[in-house]
Amino acid sequence: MQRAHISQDEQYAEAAASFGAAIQRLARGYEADADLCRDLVQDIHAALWRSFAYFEQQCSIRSWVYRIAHNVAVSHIQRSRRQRGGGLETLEVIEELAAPDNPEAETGEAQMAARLLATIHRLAPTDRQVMLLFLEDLTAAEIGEVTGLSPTAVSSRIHRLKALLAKPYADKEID
Amino acid sequence: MSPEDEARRSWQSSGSASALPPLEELRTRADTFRRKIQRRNLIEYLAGVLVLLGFGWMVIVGPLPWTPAVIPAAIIRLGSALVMIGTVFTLWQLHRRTAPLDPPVDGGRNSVLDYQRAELVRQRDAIDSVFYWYILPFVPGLAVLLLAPLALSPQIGELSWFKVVLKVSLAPLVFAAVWWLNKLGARKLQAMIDEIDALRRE
Repeated sequence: MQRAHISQDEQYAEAAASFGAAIQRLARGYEADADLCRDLVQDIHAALWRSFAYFEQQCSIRSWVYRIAHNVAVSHIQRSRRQRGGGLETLEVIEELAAPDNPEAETGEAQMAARLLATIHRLAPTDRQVMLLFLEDLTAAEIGEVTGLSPTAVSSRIHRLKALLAKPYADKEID
Repeated sequence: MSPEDEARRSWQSSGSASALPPLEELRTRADTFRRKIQRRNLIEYLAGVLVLLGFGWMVIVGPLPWTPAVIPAAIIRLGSALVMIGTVFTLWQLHRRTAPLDPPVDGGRNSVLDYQRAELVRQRDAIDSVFYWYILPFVPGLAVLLLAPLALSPQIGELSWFKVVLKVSLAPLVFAAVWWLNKLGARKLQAMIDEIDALRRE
């Protein structure tokens, strides 16, 4: 029992050290309110720690962590019910990255990150997951493993996402 | 550097990294979740115990003082016993059907769409079948308790017809409303399941 306990703690500690920053970014993608976001991060970590009691190499650690994190985040959103009832869009209809909430305050790389976050907040859950996972360097196969989308569905979304990210550069060239 | 590489770099360097929560805090949070579930179960059981105590009283002691004397105590005892059986069955079903999936247990084994679908299907099945596990178990007991007094009471002839109809139809009307609201909820959940299925078929 003691051995299993230590192993669960160790597995969690390793995963948290590797994915702690990604979990924070993921939580910000789901929850715009700073206090609720902190709460969501804690919930994800608590679920992750508990989940290692059930981890038997069913998939890679990376997929496991992202599955737990996204499942907790989606449940969090459904509980709060604030994201329901429209207002969210798919990658298919978004034509350009959203403007950051406070364009004056951010410059360069930070402004790009702010635009990405504002775009993520506009997206429907599945497209939001694809964008968040894509930005974290997951491959198309890994994105499919986490989200449950088919390879075709993932690649079409990645294609649209790449076009969306390239648009500011294309616009600059035209100017 | 390609636009997507630049976007990834910007994204991954954004936000301030905060310290990881200590393990003790995570254990406490996990305990809080377990305590919430325990508290929910306790409230359900307490409500059930109150119903069982009330009808158990009538099974043991007999009819309440204001019950017309013409109604045999055996009918009241039988009706109360049937309501008690219905209550136990419903409590068991409530516990079995309404426990949500737990992300730490089921979230890692399933993709996000599979997990969300499984949770929606569980909710839909629970409320779609509410007639069989939440309404039907009470029908025999309530039928005995409501219809027998009407059939046997000498006062029945003195009641106006609409009072009789009201007495007989009140419980079925409440049950019908419960059934209809749950069917409505089940249809909404089915629409969400259909959306997930459409995403999985892409």
